[in-house]
Amino acid sequence: MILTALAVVVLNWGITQPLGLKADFSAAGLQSNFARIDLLKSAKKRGEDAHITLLGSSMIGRLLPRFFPPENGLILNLGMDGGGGNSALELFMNSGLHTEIAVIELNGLGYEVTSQGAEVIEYESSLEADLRATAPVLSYQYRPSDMLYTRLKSWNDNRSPGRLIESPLEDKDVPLTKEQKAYFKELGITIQSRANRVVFIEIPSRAVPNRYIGEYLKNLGHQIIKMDDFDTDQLRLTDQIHLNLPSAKLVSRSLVKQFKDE
Amino acid sequence: MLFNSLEFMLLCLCALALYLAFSQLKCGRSMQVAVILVASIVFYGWGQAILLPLLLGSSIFNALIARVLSRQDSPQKALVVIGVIGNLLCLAFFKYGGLLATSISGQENPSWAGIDWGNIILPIGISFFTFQGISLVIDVYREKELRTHLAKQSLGRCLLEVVTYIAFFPQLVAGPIVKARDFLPQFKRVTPREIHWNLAVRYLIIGFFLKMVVADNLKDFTVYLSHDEFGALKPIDLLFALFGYSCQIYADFAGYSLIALGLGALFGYRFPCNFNLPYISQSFSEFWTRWHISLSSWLKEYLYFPLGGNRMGTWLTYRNLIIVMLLGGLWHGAGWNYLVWGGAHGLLLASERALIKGGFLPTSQDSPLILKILQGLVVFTMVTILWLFFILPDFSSFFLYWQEVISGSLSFSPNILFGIVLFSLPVVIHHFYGILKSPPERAFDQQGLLNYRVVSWAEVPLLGILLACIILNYGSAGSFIYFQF
Repeated sequence: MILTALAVVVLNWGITQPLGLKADFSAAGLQSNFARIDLLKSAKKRGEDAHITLLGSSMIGRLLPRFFPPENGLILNLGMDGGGGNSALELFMNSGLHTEIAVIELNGLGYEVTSQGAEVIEYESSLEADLRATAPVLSYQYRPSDMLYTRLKSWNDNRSPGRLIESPLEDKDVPLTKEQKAYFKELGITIQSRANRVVFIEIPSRAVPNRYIGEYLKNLGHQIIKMDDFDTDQLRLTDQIHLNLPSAKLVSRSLVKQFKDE
Repeated sequence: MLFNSLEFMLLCLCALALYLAFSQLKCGRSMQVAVILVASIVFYGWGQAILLPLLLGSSIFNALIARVLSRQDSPQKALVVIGVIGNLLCLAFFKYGGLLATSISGQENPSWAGIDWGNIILPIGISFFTFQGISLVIDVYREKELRTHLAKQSLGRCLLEVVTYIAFFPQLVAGPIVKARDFLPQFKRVTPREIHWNLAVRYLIIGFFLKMVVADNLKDFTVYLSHDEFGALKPIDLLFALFGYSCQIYADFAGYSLIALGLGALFGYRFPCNFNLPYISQSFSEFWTRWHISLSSWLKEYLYFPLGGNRMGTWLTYRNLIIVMLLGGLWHGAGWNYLVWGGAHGLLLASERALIKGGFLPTSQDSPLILKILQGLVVFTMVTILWLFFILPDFSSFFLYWQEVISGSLSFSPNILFGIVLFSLPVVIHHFYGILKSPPERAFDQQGLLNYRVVSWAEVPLLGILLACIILNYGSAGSFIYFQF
């Protein structure tokens, strides 16, 4: 029995490694987040700083590391499904890692850490996460069910027409309070201590961010990439807010090009 | 402490090692029982040591009553009444005190007699260990053999064994509810050769698979139902989430029960079977002989029969069924949702009986195959719908749920559908495999205790695959659903 179990585990590893198969997503958002934490912890364990770190919600989570050219180094994506941007920022800051470019999603910025986000933060410090980072075969990226889901999602996103980006879901443009301004100012300074370059990005979606946040950050001298900077006619959503994978690839490539041009 | 935690694994391994080491000693029996008791105390007190005095106090109270009863030639009924009332008062205070006080006073956090009734801590497993306490005093009162068994022992050993019976860690917090007459005679010195390792491992692997792979993964999809915003889900997602919850609650509780059976077997003890493919039931009465069997059997023996069972005429039988199920519902939790859930099951049982009696419904044995399948589908659907009372955030959400289901479009979320179908599949296969294989009843003797049998060779690779699934695909750890009861 134990031999059979070992054989199955080794077979899973033996097939997935040479073929480069791994899960980019899990059907359950929480476990997609855990997979991202496994990669963060594994980078921390190796002491490997990231070239680009993507921070935010599930919207930026669609910009998969494999969409970026591999030659520049490690790409970390901490786009938290259901977690909001704050949990991603907290996780990155706690990791002690540095990054060349920190790309922070504006859409989910300024919200409280959600219960799912809190669960992810708790997972990050758990023994289980340490174990998964030590033995990659146990990592969420190699869960057979998630690898299957990733294949199905890729197939579905490539096959289905997707939805055009229409008018924003709701008008959330509210002037910032004094406390919020202090928070965003502090955020910029804190992130700059871990990143050589900080870029705030408005991910193409119907869930648009409060424009006052972008304006304020721009006044502070931060670089802002807006939705208008992308060719939105080419972009499609799977639902009302998330880019489908081909569109996420376009956005990722466009980002890389912009970084190179500058 | 959770069964699927590292702390528990360490505790269990240490306890087992000591337990087996003591098997060679002359006083091995008492030492082995002491090891189990200490492990049970650590298990229960881990993280909530404040509740230990309650568990130990309740166990010692029952042990003393059993001891006094066992030494009487004709045991006093008054003592049994004291024992039963003592247990019920303990249960009522901790479990129903808050509900009663808030319902009577109309306040959210009533304070009376120096007690903050709205914030009484619910001790884990109280419903289980108080029911075992009641079983103990009644069984000792009824059964001469049991009285003789207890009377022969010294006071110390009697206390040690009875307290261990109630606090035995595999079944302490979520059953199976073990009857005293089935368990107490099992105390003996256990040597490694007497332990059925194959069977223990088999039950542990299947149990952990059901819990860690099926229930813990399904939980991440069905969790939406327990939030106020479940209306944001699409109609088909809502239906699938309900189906998923039905499979989750089965996998969670049956998984726990199998782990308990496996742990019991590791220490040389047999527990009653708690689940027997409940979702293939063709009638509601059959369902209750297959789901949480140890509770159904407890309620039948200590409540339904004393109420008169089915011996007092048609209407009183219906009344008894409804009373038993209402109380069974309340046993699950202090909430109107549980009362309605139990009442609905009581009504279904009574109506089914009336329909069969009136000749409007054939008994399952007489039905043609197609009707059997239809009956099975009706029973599964109704049982599944009633699980909504377990997971929805409040009572009114039940109506909101159906409003959302019938008012929406036919769209769905592929990820929810994928997750629920994939992780519910083992439950479906498990039921079909159970039907196709040998009748599972054969695995149990007449008392419903596990019959030891050798694991067939064909099952070994299958168990290996299940073990690999546990290693590779376990979900994020969640506590057992029945812990809250």
